[in-house]
Amino acid sequence: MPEPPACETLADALREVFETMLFTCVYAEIPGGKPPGSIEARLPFGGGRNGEFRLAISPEAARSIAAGFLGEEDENQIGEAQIGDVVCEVTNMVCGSLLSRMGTDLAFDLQPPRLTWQDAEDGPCGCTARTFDLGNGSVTVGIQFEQS
Amino acid sequence: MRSVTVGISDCQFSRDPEEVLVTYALGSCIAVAIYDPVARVGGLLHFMLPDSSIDSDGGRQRPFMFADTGVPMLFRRSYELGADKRRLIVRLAGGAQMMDERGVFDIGRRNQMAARKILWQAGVMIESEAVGGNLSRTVRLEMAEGAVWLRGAGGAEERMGKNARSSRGNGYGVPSVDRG
Amino acid sequence: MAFRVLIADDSPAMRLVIRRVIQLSGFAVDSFVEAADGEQALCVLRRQAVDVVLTDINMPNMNGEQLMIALQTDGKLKTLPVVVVSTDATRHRIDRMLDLGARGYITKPFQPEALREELERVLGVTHA
Repeated sequence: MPEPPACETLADALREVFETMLFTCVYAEIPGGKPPGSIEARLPFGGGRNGEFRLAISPEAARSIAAGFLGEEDENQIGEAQIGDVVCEVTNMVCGSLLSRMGTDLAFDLQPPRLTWQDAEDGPCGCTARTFDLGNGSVTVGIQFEQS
Repeated sequence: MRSVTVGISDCQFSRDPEEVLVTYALGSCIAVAIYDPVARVGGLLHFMLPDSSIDSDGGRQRPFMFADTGVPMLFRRSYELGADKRRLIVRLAGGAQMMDERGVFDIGRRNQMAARKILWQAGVMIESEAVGGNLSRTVRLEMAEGAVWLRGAGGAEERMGKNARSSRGNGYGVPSVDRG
Repeated sequence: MAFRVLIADDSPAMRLVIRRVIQLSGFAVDSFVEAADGEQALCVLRRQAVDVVLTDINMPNMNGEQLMIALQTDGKLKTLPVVVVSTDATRHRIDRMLDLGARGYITKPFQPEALREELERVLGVTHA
């Protein structure tokens, strides 16, 4: 089973997506788990290794990144469904970026991401979950591989 | 050719083919050069910071200091001089990672993102850019034909071509994968 | 020439972004058609003329790779220009899609200008 990704690897994957298409800086890792009221998506993947990737983002930051992604100047014009769709696509891209950074021998097939309601867990995926400051909120990401 | 200097947190415009707009010492700051080749109108903005919300009067007195006030004003004033948004050729330079007074490197990157976000939201594509790295740059916009020239600290001057993407080295696309 | 464009991606948000990039790039576009998976895309292509396809790989029902295989076996569609837009940046996948006939490939995330340049290269045109 692959080693859990290092903090910097997770941060790099996040930055690649957040800076390129969301125009948002990803700052340092911060303590604490999923932000309250967060919008979370899960993405199962298969191929070389099976597992699941999760991303949870605080609601204010989710609205901001959705507006940036879609090129909408007025954040209030973005509907909840659109925010959810953007969070799913961001999850897709961050997962792809992360898996690409974890080794070229990991061929993977990403399943469609799906939104999940926040539950009682402290973090998306246990020990590999890390939370990063976005300035106007935070994002928590985690990846878990199935036992091979 | 007559040289018109664009200072820090400044913006200049021209319709005179004999003029050259030039701005120096672009460290973490960003220069936004725009040129309408039909109207022969151009502008050069040199902004320092991404967001005017930190300013006590929201950038009203110093609009060109910030991306969110300076970039829209750059475009609006160029329209007043006869430029057409659909014809404007836009180039970016600067946004280097320099140590700022807080000892933090991120202002250059934040400036890059602010400029790109504002342009994307405004529906404007960037013709070319030379951003990132850790060297200071000088940019000049020649009003005769709209050519933009770039010089890095101590380096030779080169013309910004169509795809002058510089030391950011993102490689996010997969260029030139055509194999036949 | 005005292009008829098909965008295949299971994300409505990504389809909107791709469409916006193409519109802002100044390409002459006659029409846009969208599909949420390879199956829908194939259905569109068999029903109406399209000049260029931009497709994701990871899609439900029929993925981008399966779509390419289907296009290759169709005499009328095998020469259609296809640009892949995908999170998969592995050499293996890029080579596979190009072997299947894709003319271009761009990885997500992308800057708008990078997509514009790849389309210009594939279509052999410059933007307005």
